[in-house]
Amino acid sequence: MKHLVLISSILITFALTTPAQNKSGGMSFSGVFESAVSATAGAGDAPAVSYGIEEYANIRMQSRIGDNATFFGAVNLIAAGGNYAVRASSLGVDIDNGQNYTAMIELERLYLRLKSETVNFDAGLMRLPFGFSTVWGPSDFLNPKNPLKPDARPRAILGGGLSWFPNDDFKMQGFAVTGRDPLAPNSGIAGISADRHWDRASIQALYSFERSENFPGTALNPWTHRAGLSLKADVEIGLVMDMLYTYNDNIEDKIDGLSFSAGFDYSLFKAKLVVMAEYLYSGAASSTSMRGGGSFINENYLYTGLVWRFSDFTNAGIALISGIDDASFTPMMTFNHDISQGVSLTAMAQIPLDKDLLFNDGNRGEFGPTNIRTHFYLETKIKVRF
Amino acid sequence: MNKKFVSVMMVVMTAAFTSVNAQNKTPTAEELLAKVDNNEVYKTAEYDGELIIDHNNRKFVKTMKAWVRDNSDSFIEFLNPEDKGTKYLKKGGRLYVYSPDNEGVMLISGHMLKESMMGSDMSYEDAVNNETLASRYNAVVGGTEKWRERDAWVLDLSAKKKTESYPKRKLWIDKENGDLLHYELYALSGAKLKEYNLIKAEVINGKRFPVEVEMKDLLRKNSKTTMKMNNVILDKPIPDAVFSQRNLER
Repeated sequence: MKHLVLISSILITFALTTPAQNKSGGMSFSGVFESAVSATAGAGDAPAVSYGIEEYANIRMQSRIGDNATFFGAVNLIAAGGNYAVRASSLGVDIDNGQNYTAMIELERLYLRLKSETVNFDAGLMRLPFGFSTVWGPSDFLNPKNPLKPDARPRAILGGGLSWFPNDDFKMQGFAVTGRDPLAPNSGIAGISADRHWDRASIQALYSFERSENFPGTALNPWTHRAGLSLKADVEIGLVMDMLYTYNDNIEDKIDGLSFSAGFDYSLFKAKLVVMAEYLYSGAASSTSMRGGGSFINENYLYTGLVWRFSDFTNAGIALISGIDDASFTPMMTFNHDISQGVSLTAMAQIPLDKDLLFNDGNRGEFGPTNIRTHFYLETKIKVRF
Repeated sequence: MNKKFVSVMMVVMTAAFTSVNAQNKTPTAEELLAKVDNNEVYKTAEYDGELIIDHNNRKFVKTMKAWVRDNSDSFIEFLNPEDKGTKYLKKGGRLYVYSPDNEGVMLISGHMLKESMMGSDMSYEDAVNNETLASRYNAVVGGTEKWRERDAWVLDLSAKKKTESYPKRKLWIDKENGDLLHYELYALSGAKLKEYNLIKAEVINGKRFPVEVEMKDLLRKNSKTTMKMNNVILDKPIPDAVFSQRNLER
């Protein structure tokens, strides 16, 4: 905790002292503050009823240094109690317990970008996204997505990337980042990607290799190779296909290395109603599987969602996250309303369901109440942008 | 015209209606439409913008810096605290947005084009069309009318293609200086969808430039969006790098 406080202090000090030296715009700050309360009806070994409160701030800093360099930094400041504190504690997050709250500071971004006419070089703790899927994200293996946590900020990774832009529609990128275990000195991930954009379509190809002694259980061969392809097309209906194949000697059944998603989104009634669906096949050792660094334990999933826009400032949505293999479902309802400039209200409810709940037959599913430890979850949040 | 507002708001629409001179005789519809289309007479424009959205007694004020080139390329960076870091790039017929929340660039296309741009009365769709009105509409002169004390030609447009977002349009063009004073956008059913009003135009570099305009989406109750442009600089060379995806991510 103390070292994070120190890092944050250095960042802020740097931010406050840099503008005078900066000829291209100075340090700028922006951020989001969220005040959330939640109530949970627990399932399994969770308390029958529990509550939580969380105050969260994401503070971003950016400074242009001359014409060719930019520094980025971001920290998360969190004070939590109840549900939120228990969750943070269970994740092993570095926390500081106060009188009636738990405090956390996370270093979220810390990187430098150097750019020339056609080349960018980024180094530090940064976001390195891949693929066009917005729900399951098979290609985005450095930042596994989970539709049960739609508000999660994209995770950063420590490393460097060199991007070449021969023209505005084409980008090639090479990258090298640390392995998943920062204390493993002989692990790491490197790769290359290429993006090409047309008027109504985009494609991305990706190859990477990883050296790790313990991922994904690579006792015989520490090398893991990944090859990905992502496509997006907009022809009135939006189409997306995203896949990543993971190869390792220890993956017995080679289809287990495949993670594949495909879906669409479309709007009706003059864009008042947005409909989307995305299917995921998640092989047992693939990027989206728990074994492969993702979140899921089964193979076949489906996300279906509707959003109704009452106005440009108010919308409500319902999504169904389905585990097809074990017939478990988590319906999720959301409501968003812009109260005033920069201030919005969000409410979200989840109701995990499975066959055991409906038929009491012992078939407890991945998205069911026992596994998620929740019968009902409700969260309301005030979000302020500054 | 729609393009005008886009020029104004997205910097892609250069919104310059200066070159139209007073007419002593009744011009043809084609001449009037050509004047409207040719009003993008600036090679570049750069300005500080203010977007004021009045919606159901709530006011949202957004500030921005904008660059426009050749009526086809534009770049906007929002500066107000709530939207700081949000950037739009219009290049050719494509519109991209960079969101600081997800740190990614997204192409706005398909159904997303129908959505409101930053909560304003203007949709993304209004901003992306580069083709001239003359190539998209048939026009007839509908006579002359007073529009807010100004003598104006009235032009009725009907779409050549069924795929146009607004099958019918009606324009009021200032007889004296060629300003596009007002226009209305209609659905095929005849229902009026949107209205544009020129609030204020100034002479900059010897040319008339609309520095304050408003748009009303009539499907939104009690709503209007006012766009103000300050510190307008015309025809100053803007580097190609400004109109690039890299600039979105910088």
